[in-house]
Amino acid sequence: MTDLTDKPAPGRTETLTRGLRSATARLRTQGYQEELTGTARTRFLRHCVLVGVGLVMLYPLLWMLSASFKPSTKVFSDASLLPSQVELGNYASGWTALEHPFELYLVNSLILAGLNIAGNLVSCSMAAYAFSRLRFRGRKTWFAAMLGTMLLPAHVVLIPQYVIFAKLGWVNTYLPLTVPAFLATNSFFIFLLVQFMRALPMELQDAAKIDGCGPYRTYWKVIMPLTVPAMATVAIFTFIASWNDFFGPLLYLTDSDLFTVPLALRQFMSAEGASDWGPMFAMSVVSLLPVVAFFFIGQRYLLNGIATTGMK
Amino acid sequence: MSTSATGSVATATGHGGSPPTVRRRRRNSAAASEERAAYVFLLPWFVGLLFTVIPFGVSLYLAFTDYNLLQSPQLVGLENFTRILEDPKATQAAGVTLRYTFIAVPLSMISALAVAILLNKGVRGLKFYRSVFYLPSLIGASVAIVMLWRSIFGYDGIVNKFLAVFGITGPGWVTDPDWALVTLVTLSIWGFGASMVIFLAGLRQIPVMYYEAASVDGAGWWRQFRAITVPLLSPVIFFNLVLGLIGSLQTFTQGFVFSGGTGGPAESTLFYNLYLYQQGFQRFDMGYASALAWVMFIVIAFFTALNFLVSKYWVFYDD
Amino acid sequence: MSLPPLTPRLTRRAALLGAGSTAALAGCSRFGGSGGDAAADGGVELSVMAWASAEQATMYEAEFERFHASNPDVTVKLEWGDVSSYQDKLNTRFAAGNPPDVMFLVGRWLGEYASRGALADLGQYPDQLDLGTLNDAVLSGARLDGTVYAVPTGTTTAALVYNKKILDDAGLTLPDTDTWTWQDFHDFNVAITQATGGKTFGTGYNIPWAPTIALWAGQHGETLYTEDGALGLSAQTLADYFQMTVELRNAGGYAPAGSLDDQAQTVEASPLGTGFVASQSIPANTFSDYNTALDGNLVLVRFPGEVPTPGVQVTPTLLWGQASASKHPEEAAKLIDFLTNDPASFETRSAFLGVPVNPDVAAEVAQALPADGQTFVDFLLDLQEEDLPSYYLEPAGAGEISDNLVSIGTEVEFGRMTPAEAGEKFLADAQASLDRASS
Repeated sequence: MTDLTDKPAPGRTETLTRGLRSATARLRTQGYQEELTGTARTRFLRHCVLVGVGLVMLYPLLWMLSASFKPSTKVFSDASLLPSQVELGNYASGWTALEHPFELYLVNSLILAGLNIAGNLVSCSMAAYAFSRLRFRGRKTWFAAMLGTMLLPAHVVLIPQYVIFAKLGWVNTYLPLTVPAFLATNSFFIFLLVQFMRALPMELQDAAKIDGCGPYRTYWKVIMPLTVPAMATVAIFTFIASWNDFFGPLLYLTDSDLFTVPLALRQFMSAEGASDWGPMFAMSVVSLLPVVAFFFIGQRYLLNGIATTGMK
Repeated sequence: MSTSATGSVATATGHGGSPPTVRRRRRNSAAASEERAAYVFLLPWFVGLLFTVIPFGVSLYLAFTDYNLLQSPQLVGLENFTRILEDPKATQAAGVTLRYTFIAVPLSMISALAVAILLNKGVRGLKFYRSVFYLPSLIGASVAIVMLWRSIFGYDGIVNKFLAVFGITGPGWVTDPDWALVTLVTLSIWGFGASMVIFLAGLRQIPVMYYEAASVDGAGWWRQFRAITVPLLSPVIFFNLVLGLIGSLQTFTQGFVFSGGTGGPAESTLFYNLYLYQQGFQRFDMGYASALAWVMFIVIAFFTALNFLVSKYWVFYDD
Repeated sequence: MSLPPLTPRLTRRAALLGAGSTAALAGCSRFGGSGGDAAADGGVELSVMAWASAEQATMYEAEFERFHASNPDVTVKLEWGDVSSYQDKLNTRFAAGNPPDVMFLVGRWLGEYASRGALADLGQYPDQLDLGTLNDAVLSGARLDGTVYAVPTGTTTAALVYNKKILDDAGLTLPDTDTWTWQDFHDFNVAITQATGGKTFGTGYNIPWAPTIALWAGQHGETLYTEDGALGLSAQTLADYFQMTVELRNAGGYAPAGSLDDQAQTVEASPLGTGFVASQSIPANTFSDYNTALDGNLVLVRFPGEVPTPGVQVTPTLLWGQASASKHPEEAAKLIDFLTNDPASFETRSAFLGVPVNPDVAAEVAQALPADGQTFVDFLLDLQEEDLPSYYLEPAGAGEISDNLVSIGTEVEFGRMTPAEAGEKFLADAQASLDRASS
């Protein structure tokens, strides 16, 4: 087994990765990302299309924002974006309307999301690395098995899974909602990372091998840094999935002080239909903010695509 | 292969070539250590199989039983599966799901790719546009948005009011069995942002040099798209396609919230997963639901395998 | 296996992870630490599952506090959520073998649980739960093969409400609603539409609603479900019912096809609330909510066609059931007794879940009701004086039948099925549902 505490001499691997990194930097300073192509007319047309699409995309969200400022009774009857009757109290009343102040649910959701992101990033990248860059017996079969776990509708494994967690004594804790993330149970992300890793040039790996890098070092020093955009994508998607997860918390959490945001939002709706729409939309807007913020932060990594021109 | 053997070989062969057996041993030990490393990397996944494989196995068993959740399951052989063939609602559910998938997925991906290309060309305010297009997919399946969609497409909603301006009387988008599914398709397309983000990441990996060289050679926009973008983006297109299909075939939440869990009006939004859920949790027929699920599993596995097989012909990897 | 030397990125990531999890663990029992609220002092803890909004939950919890006050060694833990996910959670709990001790049940599904042994025989606890105070008619809806499996939270019935303001503005007066016929109903609704120039339609009452079908059946000498859980309705009778609705719609008395959205909205935004229709069908116990939303303009009236043979039934709004697997059956039975026979439990709830089924409690509650609540209770008590058909426990499969009814109603609404076809199909499907559920 390779002695991992040795630092390899700066070989081709280091040069390659350094070269890739500086190529990106060069492109950045060249203004690649801000480069405007096409004539003034095509640029204008492009803007028109984008603005048009943007408005259509945004309309429902603007509607939701406007609904959060309308009184509950007018939410569905007043169709305009500017409320005819402004109700500023929805946010305040929504915050305290439930059993606990809303920040508790926000914190709970954040904790779950954070743990899920950590778990997915570590375990899924490890599994994806093995599937995409390492050769081993039965790789194809295990890969098919991995994909297979994605295909079964969740509802039928719901009951058996619940029974397993109940027997483990994990009901009414966050364990059923977080431990699976650390065990690479999310095949979607494994698959995503596999696709990205497969697209990385094989020369890197060969160079690393020549330098005496074993599989662990290759993973850590070579593949991981280059997969940052995909990892950022995994992080963002994990955050959203965890933040919006309704069914898991519904089944496993009975103590209301453990509840997450989606559960809390549903509690605004009563059986007879006289739901508290105003505060509900207000709290929906509030619960959207972390998601949007997270996306804005993660965006930076998505932008740093690696161009391979530096290698040639 | 032990370390010492490799070590001693390494020290023994100072210069010149190594005899064939030694080379083979070195190569084997490298392969063996790679395999060992693979198992180490896959260790969490192997442990995780506990939480996926065991429930899988149990649900497979349940598919051959009559299980009403309240009493013990009773084995009934293939009864559930033959029932699927004769069940008009199961056929209806399959029809709804397939129709939805084969309209929503292509439209959604085309929009995603088109907008990603547009953005990739370098647009002032790219970050802003990208976030704007992405936002909807963040909340697409939430109760608030689905209720909002119902209201927008309601009898008196914005869409009908808009059509009225042109003198068109819109149908009951939400209450008419012929139109309800269309409403959900539009909701799905509205969420194209997630695929778009992935396309954009993939587009960013294509070196600008290729396009520059092609322009110099006189290739037009469409030619460049076909010859450069599509092949180099093909792993990402493939990824989005496979997952789009799998996800779409398994649609549940939108159908559930939109129809209040009924699959209405008149079963026009009875997605397969929704039907399965109804059978399992509301009709106390978990055995039948499990059988339905396994049929879906086989269908999706088939489509996915097909995709993988066909991918050899159009997906281009650099390995 | 030894890890590569810690790079700055790894330490940062590890630190974040460490910080995150310690914060979480330090927080509380999120990861299965102390059980927290379990039966301290060796007392008993009962779990109750119900659906509610935040305000209703506070109401129920106040009542459970009162129970705890008179039974100090029993604490009650309420688990509540929204109605649409109630059944999944309940069924998952049953399947995993840890059902709640006491729970809400709906008439449509009661049969499913009762016929499969999931519910406790409530007659077994005469010392804790006194069923003798309740009259037989009330318990018939919860009795299967002679065993009582649940206790109604209260009684209600299907009724119509008319918007008096719209009628007055249009210069119309309601006929005698205790004796009016379906023809009268038809003519009156058409008159409303005409008088308002089509702005308001006469009615938008819920056509494919099991209680309405049941009352039509009763008026024609049949019954939806018989005492032994079979179908008592004929295809012809059902076809006649749908025919009546088609004619009403064609004549303009009923709102046009597709114009009524049945999804949960606030009352103010509903077709009744916006004045799109002048009348609606409601469970009578919700009268007070509706009337408040419509500024007191509503009147509570009976369905037409009740003379000479009445068909309407007095039914449970909801029921309290007890799991047969409950570890504390006596305490659970005591709780149900409290919720049924003890006036103290109605102090906040009053008639919200229906008229109390214990006549003494009902009388006491009726004294302190606000006007609308009083209207509802009077309406129901008057009804109970008559000789109404009995409501029997709905058999397993009734839930599916109710849902099929809605589908068929939609098909008829859009002219995709004739009333005659609808009648045949409904019965064929209903019989299949019953057969499947009982196998």
